[in-house]
Order: sequence, then C-alpha cells, then structure tokens
Amino acid sequence: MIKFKEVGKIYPNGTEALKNVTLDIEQGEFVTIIGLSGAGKSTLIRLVNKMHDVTSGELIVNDVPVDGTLTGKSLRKFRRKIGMVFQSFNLIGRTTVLKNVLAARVADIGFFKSLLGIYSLEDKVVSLNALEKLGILDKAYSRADQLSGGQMQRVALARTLAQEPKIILADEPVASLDPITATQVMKDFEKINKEFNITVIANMHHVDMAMKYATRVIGIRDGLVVYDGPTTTVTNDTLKMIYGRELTDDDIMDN
Amino acid sequence: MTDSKKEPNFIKDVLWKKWIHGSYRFIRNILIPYDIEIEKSITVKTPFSLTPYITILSVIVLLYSASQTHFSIPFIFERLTGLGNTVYVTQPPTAIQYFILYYLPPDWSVVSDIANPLIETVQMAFLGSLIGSILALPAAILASSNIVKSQYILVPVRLFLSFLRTLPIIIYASLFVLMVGFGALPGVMAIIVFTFSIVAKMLFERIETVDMGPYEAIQSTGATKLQSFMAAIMPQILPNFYSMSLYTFEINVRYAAILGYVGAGGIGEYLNQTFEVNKAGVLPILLFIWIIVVIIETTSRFLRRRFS
Amino acid sequence: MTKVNKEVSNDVQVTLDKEPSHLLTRVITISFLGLMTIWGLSAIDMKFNAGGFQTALNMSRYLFDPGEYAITTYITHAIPAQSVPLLMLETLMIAFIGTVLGAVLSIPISFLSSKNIVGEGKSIYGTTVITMIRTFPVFIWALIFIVIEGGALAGVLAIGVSSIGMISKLFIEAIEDIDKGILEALDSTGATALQKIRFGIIPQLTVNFLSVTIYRFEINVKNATLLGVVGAGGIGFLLTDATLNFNFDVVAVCLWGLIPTVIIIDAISTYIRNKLATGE
Repeated sequence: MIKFKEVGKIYPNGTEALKNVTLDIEQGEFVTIIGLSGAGKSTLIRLVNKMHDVTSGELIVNDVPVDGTLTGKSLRKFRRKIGMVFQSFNLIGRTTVLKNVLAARVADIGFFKSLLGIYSLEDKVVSLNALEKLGILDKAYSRADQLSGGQMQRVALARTLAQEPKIILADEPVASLDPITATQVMKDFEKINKEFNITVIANMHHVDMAMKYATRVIGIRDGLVVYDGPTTTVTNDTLKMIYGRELTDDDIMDN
Repeated sequence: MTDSKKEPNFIKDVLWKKWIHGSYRFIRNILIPYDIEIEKSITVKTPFSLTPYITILSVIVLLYSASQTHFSIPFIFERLTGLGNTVYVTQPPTAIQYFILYYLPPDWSVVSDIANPLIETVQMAFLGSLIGSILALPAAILASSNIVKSQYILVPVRLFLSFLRTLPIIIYASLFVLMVGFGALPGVMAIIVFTFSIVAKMLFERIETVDMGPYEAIQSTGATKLQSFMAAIMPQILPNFYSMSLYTFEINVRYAAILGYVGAGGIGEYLNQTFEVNKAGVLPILLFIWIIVVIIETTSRFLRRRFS
Repeated sequence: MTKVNKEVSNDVQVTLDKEPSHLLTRVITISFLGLMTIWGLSAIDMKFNAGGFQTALNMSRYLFDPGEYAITTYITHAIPAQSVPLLMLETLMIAFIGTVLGAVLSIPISFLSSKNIVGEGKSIYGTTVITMIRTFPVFIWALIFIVIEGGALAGVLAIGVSSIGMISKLFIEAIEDIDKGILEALDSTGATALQKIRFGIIPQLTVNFLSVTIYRFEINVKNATLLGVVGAGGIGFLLTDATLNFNFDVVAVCLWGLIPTVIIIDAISTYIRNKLATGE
C-alpha cells in the first residue's frame, strides 16, 4: 500500500514539480499517470523508490516511511522489492538476455560473487521463469542488443520480475515502441499485474494505451493531481482538463 | 619633360619601390593589422594573427637546435661518405667505414649468451603489464566523474595519475634499482608503474563515455554502486580493457629491453656491455630483440582483433 | 539435478541444461595466465631488501634539499656535460629537431601510403614500410645512428626515424578522411589543381598534422631522456649514472630539472591540441 500525504517536491533549482499530492494505492492496482510532459509524472514515480526525495509531506510505502531515515542498507533493501522499467530499456547490450535478467539478483548475492558474476541455481531458475512468463525463454542466451525493441522491453520487464517485487514502476515503458509491439508489452504488464498481484504504476505518454490497460487513472497538471478515478469514468472533457488543451495525434498511439 | 615622367627611373622606381619597399610592406602587412578598403569609404582592419610570429619563432628555435645537435644534412652526408672538408682524427673518416669495421661481421657467438636475458625481458614485460593493468582498474574507477561524484577523490587521483606519467620509465627503473637492488624486480616495478599510469588514463576516459542507463537501472533494484558497476559498466569496458592491456604489453616489451642499461634486468645490461667491448655482437642482439618484438606484436594484434 | 524450492517447468529445465558453458575457456585462460605469472615471477630474486626503504628515505631528503655542492656544480657548472639546465635544453632540442625531422619525412611517406592518393594496391608498399619502422624500438635506431656521431645527433636521427611510424600512421588516417565534397565544390568554381590543394586539402590537414606532431613531441621528450642512457645525448645519462652511483644530490637536481619540464611540456601540448581541436 502506497500512501501519499500532502506530498510536495521542489527541486534544488527552485522548480516546484509536485504540490500537495494525497492519494492511496492499494496492493495489486494497475494505475496509470497521464499528463503533459513536465507536469510531474516522472517525479511522482521516482519518489516511490526514492530516486528523488520528498521535500514536504509524508510518503509511506508498505509501512516504510520514505524519508531521510531510509538510506544505505535499508534503502537498498527497500528498493529490492520495487522494480523499475524505463523508456530506453536500459539493458546491457553486449551480454546475454539471461545475464541481463540475472543482474536484478546482484543486490542479493555476496561481494565476491557479484564481482565474478556467479549466480546460484535459484537465481537462474527465477530468472528463467521470469523469461518464460514473458514468452521469450527461447532468447535466453541471445545477445541483448540483437533483439527487437519489444523483446528488449520484455527482457527489462523480466528483469523486474526476477526481483520478485511487490511494486513495478514504469516510466513511459512503451513510448519507444510501435503500436503492435506496444500492445504486446502492455498486455504483459496486465498479465503480471493480475497473476502476481503486483502493483503497477505506469507513466504513460499515449492516452489510448493508458485507458485500455490500466484500471485507475491519475491525471497530473502543473504538479497537482487534477483527476483520480477509474478509467471507466474518464471522458473527453476530463482529458481536456488534465492536458489543458485538446488532445493531438501525438498523444494517441494508435491513429 | 613629359618623357622623363613616363620612363621609370630604374633605381628609384624599380629597385626601391618594388623590391625593397615592397618587401617591407609585405612583411609589415603580415605582422601588423592594417586597413583594407572593402567598399567605398568602408575600411576594415585585418585581424591580428599570432601565426606569423609563431612561425618565425619556430624557425629560429629550429635553426638553433639544429646547430646545437649537429644536425645538418651536409654534415651527415660528409660523415657517411667521407666527402668534405672536416677531418676526424680519432675515428675512421666515414660512418660507413666505422660501421663495417666495428659492427661487421656480426658476431653470432653472442646468441648463446642472450637466451636467458631475452627470456627475462619478456617475463618482466608480461608480469609488469599484468599487474599494472589489474591495478589500473580500481584507479580508473576512482578517476571517473560519472561514478565518483566527490571532487575530493577525483582531483587527487587524476593529479596522481598525471604525475606518474611524467617520468620516463627508465627513471623509475633506476630509482627502483636503488631501492631494491639490481635484477628483474626493479624492472618489473618500473613497468608496473608505467602500465598503471597509462592504462588507468585510457580506462577512465573510456568509462566516462559509457552508457549510464543500465547502471542506474541496476541501482534502482537495490544494488550497491560497486555491484551496479560490475554488472552494468564492466561488460561495456572489458573489451577495451583487454585491448589496452595488450597494447601496453607490446610497448612494454620494447622498454623492458632497455631497462637493463640501468641494471633493472633483461637484455639491456648485456647489450650495453657488448656495445662497449664487442661491437660486432650488437647487430645479432638487436636482431633477436626485434624478432621477439615482432612475435609479441603479431600475437597481441591477433588477440586484440578477437576482442574486436 | 539439484533440488530447488521453486516450480520449474519443463521448458525452463531444458533451457537451464542448455546453458552455454564458458567454463573451458575460462579455465584455460586463467591457468595460462597463472602459469605465465609464475614463470614471470621466477625471474625475480625475491630477497627483500629492507635497505630499500632506507635508501628511498635518503633520496627523498635530498629531493627537497640537494645541498650547496650539487646546486652549484650541476646548475651553474661551466662544463655542459654536467649542467642540468643545459642538458635539459639539449634533451628538448633533440626531441624538437627529431620530431620535426620525423614529421617532415612523414609527409611524403604518408601521401604515398594513402589509399585515396595512390590507390589501394600501391598503398601497401608504403604501409608495409611504416609497419616495419614501427617494430623497431627507438633505442635500436639510436645504437645504429651512433656510428654517424655519438651524442645528440644520434638521438635526433633515432627519434626522427622512429617518429615516422606513429606520425605517418595517424596522418594517413587524416588523409583518407578528407572530405571530397570540398574538392568538388572548388572544382565547380574552376580552381586549378594547385589551388585545390592549397584551399581544399591543406586546410583540412594542417590542423590534424600539427596536433599529431605535437602529441609525438610530448612522447619524444621522454624518449630523448631514455636515449640519453644509451649515449645519445641529453639528461638521461647523467640522471641514471648519478642514481647508480648513489649521488642522490645530483639525482635530485636532475629531477628538479626534468619533472617541471615534462609537466610544463605536457600541459602546453594538451592546451595547444585542445585549441587546435576546437578551432584556433
């Protein structure tokens, strides 16, 4: 359970990215965050795993207060259970798919083993299981940079699965993909969310994708939460309010 | 009267105006900015450029250096062929004669003596390259601004690496000979220092151009900086690291051959002695050194290509 | 098959078994390196000389205060062979002339070895010659040129010839990278061949050439010091000779001359090359 209580974020250069955000996210929800670029979507997501710090208010994730007390070892332990997927995949090109997924387990193994890249059988099984779940088990020993965009994102998703996380944060996960591949990846998110009851919070650039796969929409405009409700009750007017303008072709993936 | 106006006065017009004054103007225009009229009543000053001054200075330094080091083509020609005015009292008149007299015929008997020193040379180069490269890795990490954020670490490390690179390897060799005695040990130490300094520099320059995305991604899973580095950045730099280490090894074999001159092991000492007492043995030794260099270079090139 | 407390599907098990094993290559590489290391170590006489640290300490004392004698003798001495500033100057001059010589010789050689100038077939001759030159360490050249005249000249010639290797290699890369478009543009304005060279080719190449030469000069200063040891002039001989005779005061004075010089040269060289790269 993720609890935001009057959370605000002001960057060192003075920009006020988020103002007075209060919301609760239950375990197992599939939430999407939409809004203009720069509205505060990225910031909101990155507060959850403390990649950015909260400057005012309170943030509690699964009974752990995310504030100054969460540092070093406790921070790392906290992050173990939160996976993150990026728009640019962030895979290690020259190594195999399996090694990329195994990299998620690196935080748990000892110092010397991580130095030499030796993973336990359990690590490998968990990783392969993750790959199987995403339907790319056959690519386990291929070089990561030889995959298509969609496949790469699935490897990234498998990597987060290998952490056995409670929450997955996704920062514009399909923005670099074509519509067909994007749909496949979003379906994967949906599957993982339903099957493992993992909370998924996804920043989405493309509104139609967001609507189709998430169950709850949070609209952010100028750092404020202007909409928070189920996808079913979102209308065109709601979208206009969130974006502050009419939607353009850019905001929709499948044209 | 009109005649004398049309006919150019040789001394005044040609000699003075065209050549002497013209040359003066030419040089003055190069060195000092002057006004050019671009269009009617628009004048612009030519830009001031240091280049002519630098060129003049360089030429002066060049001529001075050449004279001090006895570098002049006529001189070399005379020394080679013996045609010329200078007379040498203490040695045969030409370099070629000297060469034939002392360096030839090559004394092949030295070959049996050089086997061990040559082997020692390669041993020194290999050991020094290996240890130096391995040590260079953590040093390069500490000097990379995208991994280490603190200036208190970055600046001293980089300064230290720069400083290590200033002394030529032979100086390190003699210093180490003083500290640990004669033999291969000071040679290996000198090679370690040399390898360390240049591999570390090449390495941190490479690390700073690496893709940081995967590094951040792994950190977000809860791994420490070191673990993230090992998992995400190492694979990116490892091929370069091998390549650099092998390249440095190639260089080191050449230096290892000469470190013996100061007693730091290898073929150098024997080469020095041979040069003093038995010049005929010099060519065979040089030949074998060359052979070893070529073998190692070819192998190294081959291996480096395999790491592409 | 080891027991794992997770459910493993058939497919996963199959994939697990198929894991490509790099074990063999790893074992071979590590044992090879290990053996080579042991072989390498055998060359070292491991008698730990505790006196070494004492020596180092003594040396460092002198480094900060070489003493009256050394300073007067070696800095202001009338005999050039023993005056540190003069020797440093000589080292620099050897490096300078040697580099210039190498650069000048490299120009025709590079052009004759570039694929876009003489064609792919003929360029092989040049590149082979250059590769051959590069296999010879500097000191080999020095020992040969000593027959012409031992001392500074031998150093100059050795540095000159050995520099051809590196300068040509880098210069050929620059030549083969020439932007043909500029030449075409000049052609279309009716430029003659000479003008095309002067305005099209030379500007592209000069900056690169200068940068390469300056870089090589930096290296050659260190080479010149090295060659001093084999008798080719410069401060190399005095420094190593003094070291081996335990004349730390002389060593200190030499280092006083050598270290600042090299640092300054390196700094100036880097500065100039940076300015060249960004367009001076």
